[in-house]
Amino acid sequence: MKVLLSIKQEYLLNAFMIFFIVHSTQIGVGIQGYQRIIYSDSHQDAWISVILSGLYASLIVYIIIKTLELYETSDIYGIQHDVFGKLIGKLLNVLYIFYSLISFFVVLRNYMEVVQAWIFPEVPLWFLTTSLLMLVIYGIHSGVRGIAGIAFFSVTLSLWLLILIIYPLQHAKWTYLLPVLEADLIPLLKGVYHMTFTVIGFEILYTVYPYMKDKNKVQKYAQLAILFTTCIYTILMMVAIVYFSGAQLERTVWATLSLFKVVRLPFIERFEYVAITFWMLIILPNLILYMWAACRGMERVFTFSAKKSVWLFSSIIFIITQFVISRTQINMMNGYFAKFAFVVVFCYPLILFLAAWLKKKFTKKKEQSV
Amino acid sequence: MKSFLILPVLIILLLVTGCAKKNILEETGLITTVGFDMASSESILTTMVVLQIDPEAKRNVDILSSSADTSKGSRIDANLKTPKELQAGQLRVALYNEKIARKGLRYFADTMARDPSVSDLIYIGIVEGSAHDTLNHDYKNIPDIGRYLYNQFEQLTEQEQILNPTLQDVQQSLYSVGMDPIIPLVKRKGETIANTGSAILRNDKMVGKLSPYKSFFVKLIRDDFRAGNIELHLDLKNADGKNEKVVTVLDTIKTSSDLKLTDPKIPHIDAKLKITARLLEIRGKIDLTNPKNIKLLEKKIGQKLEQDTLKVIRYCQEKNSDVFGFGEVYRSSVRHSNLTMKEWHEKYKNLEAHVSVDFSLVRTGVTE
Repeated sequence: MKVLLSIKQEYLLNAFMIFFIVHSTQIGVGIQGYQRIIYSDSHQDAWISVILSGLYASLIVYIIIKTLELYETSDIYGIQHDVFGKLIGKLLNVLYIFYSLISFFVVLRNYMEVVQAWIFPEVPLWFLTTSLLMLVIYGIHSGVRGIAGIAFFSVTLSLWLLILIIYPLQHAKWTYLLPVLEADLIPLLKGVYHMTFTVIGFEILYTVYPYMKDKNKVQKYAQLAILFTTCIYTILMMVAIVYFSGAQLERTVWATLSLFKVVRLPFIERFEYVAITFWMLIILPNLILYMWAACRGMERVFTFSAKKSVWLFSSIIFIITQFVISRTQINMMNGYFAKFAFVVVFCYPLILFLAAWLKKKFTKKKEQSV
Repeated sequence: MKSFLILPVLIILLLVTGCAKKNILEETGLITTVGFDMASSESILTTMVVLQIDPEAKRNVDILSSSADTSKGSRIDANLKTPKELQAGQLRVALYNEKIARKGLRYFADTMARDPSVSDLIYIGIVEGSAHDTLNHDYKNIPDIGRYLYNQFEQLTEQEQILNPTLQDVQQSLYSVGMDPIIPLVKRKGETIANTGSAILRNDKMVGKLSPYKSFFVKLIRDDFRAGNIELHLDLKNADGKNEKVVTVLDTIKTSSDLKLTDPKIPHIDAKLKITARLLEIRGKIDLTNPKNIKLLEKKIGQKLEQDTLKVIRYCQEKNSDVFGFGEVYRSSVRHSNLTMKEWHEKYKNLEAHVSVDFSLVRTGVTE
């Protein structure tokens, strides 16, 4: 396998596109209901946990980009192959493909659960899966530039939803935020840990990095994306804390969606239905980018064309969705996935960086001594 | 990839969206109001007001009632009695009979919140007497009882004569550690339905009633007024030193309350209320051209408001219902209190409140 990639000029993306790619991959299904999970750890200080998790994410993004800069134009598949050798490298690459697919599946299944629980309880799973998978396959076929375009429109077209939090704020009881910093460090950190499921997404940098035009600007735009996402998460967390009373928030599965329940416009009385259906636009780049990362891995590791593997993966996903049916199964799946993602996204990049850095150092020394 | 495969698939996808379940207006029975009564110790009598879309129908609404052990169970049961499929998506008002409210509303609030088709903005009310009779009565001048109730609730909330009684607000205080719910009371009076004050709850059980006048003081502390109004009876000493009864009506009342926990042990709460209002009407001999009299009036009104606030607080303490949200003040100012509802109700009994009102009249109308 070639470690370094040379990508044709016409496929390259402007560096500022990484802002939309990272941000849209971060925001997905976790945002719909992370509040109650974090709240059960650090109560009214949950927003501090959210900020801390944003800081940690920013550190990891820094590390990820530093790792990629060691190789200039390579992705995680090339780096792992180079650092860990043929056998272990391949194993880790397969694992990473697996991780991307699982992320894809988790996003897909959670969104369908929302659709079924809120709007269409009678629509069968296979129907929802097929329609979303079709869109994903279509997206993959449009290539990297097309995918980045989807991410761009997904972000810009859904920003207006944020304005609507004015409505729940009319019911706000601001004292719910007090006393500040009552939670100790341990519950705060627990909250950070439980944010994993919601903040991940920036690991997409590992795969899109080679496609960036001016690589020295990637760091800046990626960090901006993390900042923006963290701001949104913090605001939504605070709004949820002041809008719901404690025990009520702990019972609310999708707090963000429930916030939309009090939005009443003269022409639409039940705004949450619009928000939920609109959410498809928000998770679409999420799905496409994860699927693309997996397909890209197949291309790199097994030289198996992405356009073939997308059909293969889609059929596998389609079959698996039929087995995860109940809420308890979904919750269990989310729990396991969050642990897996914590290792892959929050811990592994540090190890990879260290290994890549050491390798670089030793090979350089060798070259010098020879 | 060849587009000849993708294109037909996308077209099919577009077309099958038409296969989703349709809800045709003429074929659905839109429930606009529900009322709950205790049918026996176990079962619940549910009365539903269903909107009639048929222009030839005698009444604009159809009243269905059925009893079952759960509220959704009675919807299923009521569906047996109608040619239209009952849907709760347009539900606007839910009324509970006093007996049910005294037994506990938690279950009812929960079943409303659990159903995604029910909005969080529906109004909750407690009926003095039977909810079934209130809804089922053939009112002479009310063609649509559901709409009537909804408009009444909306109007009263906007006029700030009742506290915001939406499902969200009830739920918020229901699950709040330091705040008990307060829900408006309604009663059929002949051919009309009137708001008769508010029910105060301890946790989820109704424990007492407040008249509309007394409810004003709850809102004074719990919420802020932006444009409220009230009628006050005052005893004034006029220039001759004689006692005189004066009745004033204040409107565009603007308030802001500042609650402070001054001693967490007793607990002692200091409530500073800043109130401004316009004098709309005054009955009694008092010369308003004299600024001294205005000052006196302001002072007297302030005192009156202080006294009555304390009276209402004392009444609620007797019933052990913290509708003011003093517990929230306690929880938010004492660190690591780990307050529970039970603990707070123990403490609340001994609570001492000090109320000081800073009242000022902004204007006295267009005449003096």
